[in-house]
Amino acid sequence: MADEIGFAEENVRTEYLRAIEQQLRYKKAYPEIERELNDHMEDQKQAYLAKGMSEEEAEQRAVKEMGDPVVTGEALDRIHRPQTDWSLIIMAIALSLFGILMQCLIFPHMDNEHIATTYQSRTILYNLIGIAVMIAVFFFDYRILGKYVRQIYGCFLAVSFFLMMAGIHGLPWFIHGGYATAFQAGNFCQILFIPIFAAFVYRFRDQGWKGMLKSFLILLVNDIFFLMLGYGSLTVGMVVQGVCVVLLIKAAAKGIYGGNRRLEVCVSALLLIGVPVGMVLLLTCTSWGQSGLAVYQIERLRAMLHPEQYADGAGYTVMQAQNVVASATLTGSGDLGFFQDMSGAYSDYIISCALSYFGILAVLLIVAVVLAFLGRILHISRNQSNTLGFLLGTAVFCTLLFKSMLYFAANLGIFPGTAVDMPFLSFGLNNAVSNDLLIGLVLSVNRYRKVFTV
Amino acid sequence: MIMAIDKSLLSGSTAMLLLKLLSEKDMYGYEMIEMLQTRSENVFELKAGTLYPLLHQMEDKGWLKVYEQEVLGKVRKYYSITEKGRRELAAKQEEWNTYSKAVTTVLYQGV
Repeated sequence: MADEIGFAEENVRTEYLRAIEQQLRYKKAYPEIERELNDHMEDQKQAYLAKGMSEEEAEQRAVKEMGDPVVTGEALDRIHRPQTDWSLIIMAIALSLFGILMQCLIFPHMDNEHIATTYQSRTILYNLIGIAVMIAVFFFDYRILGKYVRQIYGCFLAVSFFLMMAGIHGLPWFIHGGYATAFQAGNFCQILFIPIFAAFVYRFRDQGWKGMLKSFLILLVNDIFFLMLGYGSLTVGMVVQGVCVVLLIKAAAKGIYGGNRRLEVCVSALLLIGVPVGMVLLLTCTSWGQSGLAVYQIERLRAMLHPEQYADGAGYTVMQAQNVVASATLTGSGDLGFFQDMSGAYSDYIISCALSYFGILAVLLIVAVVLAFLGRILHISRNQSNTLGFLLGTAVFCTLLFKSMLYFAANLGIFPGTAVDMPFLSFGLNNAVSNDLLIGLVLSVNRYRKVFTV
Repeated sequence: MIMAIDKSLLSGSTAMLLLKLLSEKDMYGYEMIEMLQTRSENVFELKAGTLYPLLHQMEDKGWLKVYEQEVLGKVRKYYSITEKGRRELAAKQEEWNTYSKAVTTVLYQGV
């Protein structure tokens, strides 16, 4: 008898929920809706039971109270649809096109015959691969990152380790393939840690101090892996540090960890100062492995402070960039000026070259597009109800902001070059793929904005 | 006593009433229906089938934020009002005051 009632109960409720599901054209939205409506019916049923109704009557009434499932389902269907942020896609493509244009103006000036003839088609290929990655990630359900972050990080460490070993012992052909200068696996892996870290913060949410500590430990493990083993670039490492600590502060301020917000913000703010200081101390003091600052890194740091003393070496590009700024005109001179035959300008000094060639107005236009682009990403992440979506959006925003700031600083001669690549503008496969992958994540976050909210 | 009240009277102002409830504390859906019923002395009996699409719409407009929280062993979806939602509430309340004052004036003045 009890079984029969249980069966009948199930029927009314499942029927109601099935009718709702049928109205939803976008099925990914269903699980969250189902949970909420089911919880509601359960609450209503308990209330009826408390009033003295029989089990069966309570269930029937609770479902009936919900109203017409078709009307409700239709209303929910109108809201829960995937979104496409065209403005972000168009801006990404426009910036990529400008990057290709600038690079193609620079390539013919290279002394290296190989670069002059082959890089043109190569940069178009890289950008196309980047766009393809962006679109693929756009369709990817970003919640998978939150669900399987430990496994993903395990694979990430294994692949990074393999690439690092391959880098030391010679790259296999499929990584090398004549593209060694274009694909710097170290920098690529370093940047990919950022969304993984965001997913870890999400995993450790609501755990208070324990969650914060765990997040910090993950960051430390990663630092030891990349920086201590001397894998990847120091500047990119610093960008990663900065982004991760800012993410900790944002998470604490938003109450994602739970517990005492103010105290958590203070601690994470201390980390913001403590982490770089600790890093520099470790890098300068330690002597094992390949760790410690390389000679060229120390020279670059000195050159940043006194470029004129290093005019022949590390200070050269800094001084050239300063010269470009000093002689900039509103509409440009139609040539590359001081970067006429500087190797690597197609990657590190796109803005300097643009300043020389097209002038101040054109560069201001680029700045405006970059700012609009960053603003759009910030807008998307701030309008997220989903915690993981918010963290990923914020992480990508900070990454691109820090990279852009460093790049523009280098191009204006206030920071040494070869520091970081500029999203979309710099030449290179790892640049195209890593940046487009991050943008793809933001597009995915926005895509599901109205589909999952928690 | 449940009054049979014209639905159209309710629909326009439901969002305002929900914003008002949420301006006092964060709630989950069932709580809102109960609270609305109690505070209106059983005049407003909002159906869950109407409530949730409305809440989701309000979340989409940025008036509300949602989060999950475990209470008494049950994970619930809570809604909380945003700054934008508070501004919206103020505007709607203002509009309502003007409207109800006008109605009262017409009904009870003169004749």
